[in-house]
Amino acid sequence: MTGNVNMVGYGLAAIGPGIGIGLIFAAYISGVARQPEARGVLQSIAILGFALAEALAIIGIGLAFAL
Amino acid sequence: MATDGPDRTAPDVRGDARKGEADAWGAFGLVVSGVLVWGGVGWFVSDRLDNRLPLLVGLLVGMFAGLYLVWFRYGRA
Amino acid sequence: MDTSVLAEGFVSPGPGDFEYSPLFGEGTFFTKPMLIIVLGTLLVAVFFYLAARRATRVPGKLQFAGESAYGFVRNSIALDSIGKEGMRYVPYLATLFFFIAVLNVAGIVPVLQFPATSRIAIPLFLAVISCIIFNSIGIKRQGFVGYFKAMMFPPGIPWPVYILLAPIEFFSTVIVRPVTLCLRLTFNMFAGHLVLLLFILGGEYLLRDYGGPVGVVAGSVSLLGSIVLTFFEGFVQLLQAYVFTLLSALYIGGALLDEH
Repeated sequence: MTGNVNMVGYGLAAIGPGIGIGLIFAAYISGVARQPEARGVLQSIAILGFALAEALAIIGIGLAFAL
Repeated sequence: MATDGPDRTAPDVRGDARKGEADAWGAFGLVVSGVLVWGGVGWFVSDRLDNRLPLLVGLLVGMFAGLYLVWFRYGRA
Repeated sequence: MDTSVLAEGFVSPGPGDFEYSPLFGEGTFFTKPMLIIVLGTLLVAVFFYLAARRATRVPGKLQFAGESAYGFVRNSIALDSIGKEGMRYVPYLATLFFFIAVLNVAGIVPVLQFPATSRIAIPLFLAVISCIIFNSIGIKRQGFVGYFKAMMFPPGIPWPVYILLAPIEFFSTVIVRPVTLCLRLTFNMFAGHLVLLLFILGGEYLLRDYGGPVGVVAGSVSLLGSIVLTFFEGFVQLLQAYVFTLLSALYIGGALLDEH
C-alpha cells in the first residue's frame, strides 16, 4: 500500500469543519423555525460561519499538499 | 401582467431560499478562490526561492482575503 | 477474519468501468455514452415537438405533460431566481435542464445503465456555455469595463486592498463558478454509478461465486440494497439536473442586476 500520511491527516482534519458546518446549519434551521421573520439576519450570520468553517477545511487541504 | 405565471410581486419565501443557496455557493467559491489565487502565487514564489515560507504566507493571506470578501459581500446586514 | 479470501476473484469496479470501447468494432468512434447522448437528445426533441405541435386551448394529455415540464422550469427556476426578465432565458434553461436530466437518468434505465454526464466532457461543455452566457449578459448589460469593475472593485474598500481582492473576485466568477458547476454534476454521477456497480456486481459475485450461507445472505442484502439505491440514484440524478440549471439561472440573474 502506498500513499501519503499527509492525506490521512487531512482526512482527520476535515472531520472538524464537517461537524462545524452541520452544527451551524442545524442552529440556523432551528432559528428560522422559531422566528421565520429573522431569516435575513440569521442567513448572513450562517453564511459567515459556514465560510469560516469551510476556510479551515480548504486551508487544511492546501497545507496537506504543501507541507 | 399578461403571462399566466404566478404573481411575482408578492414576497416569496422560496425565492429567499434560492438566494441563500446562491450565497452559500458564492461564499464557498470566494474562499476557494482566495486560497487558490494567493496560494498559487505563494507556491510559485516558493518554487523559485526554494523556500516553503512564501507558500504558507500565500495560503494564509488568501484564506483571510477570501473570508474578508465573504464578510464584505454577504455578512453585512 | 481473513479478508483476502473475500477479495479473491472479485474485481471491484473502478474508473475503468467508465471507459467504453466503440460499439461497432475497433477503428470506429461511436461509443455507448455517445449513443446515450443521441438517444437522449432525440427523446427530448421529439417529446417537446409532439407536445407543441397542434397546441390547443384545451390541452390534450401530451400537450399537458409538455406544458407542465416547461412550466416547471419557467416558474420554479427562471422566474423565481431571475425575476420577470427570466422569461428570455427560459428556452436555454429548459434545454439545459431536460438535456442533463435525460442523460443523468440514463444511468438507471435498463440496458443503457450509464449516466452519460459522468464523462467530464459533457458537464464541462455545458458549464462553459453557461459561463459564456452569464458573462456576456453582464458585459452587454453593464459594458465591458463596467461589468468587470463592478465584479472586481466593489466600492467601500480602501484602494490598496484591491490588489489583494480583485484577483480573487475575478477568479471566483470566471473560473471557479464553471468549474464547480461541472465538477458537482460529474462527480455526483460518477460516484452514484460506481456505488450501483459495486452493489450489483458485488451481490452477483457473492451469490454466484462465493456461495455458502454467508454468500447467499450477503449477496441478497447487497442486491436488495441496490434496488433501494437505484431509486435514490434516480432522485439524485433529477436533483443534480435541477441544481445545475438553478445555479446557471442564479448566475444569469446576478449578471443582470449587479449593483454592487
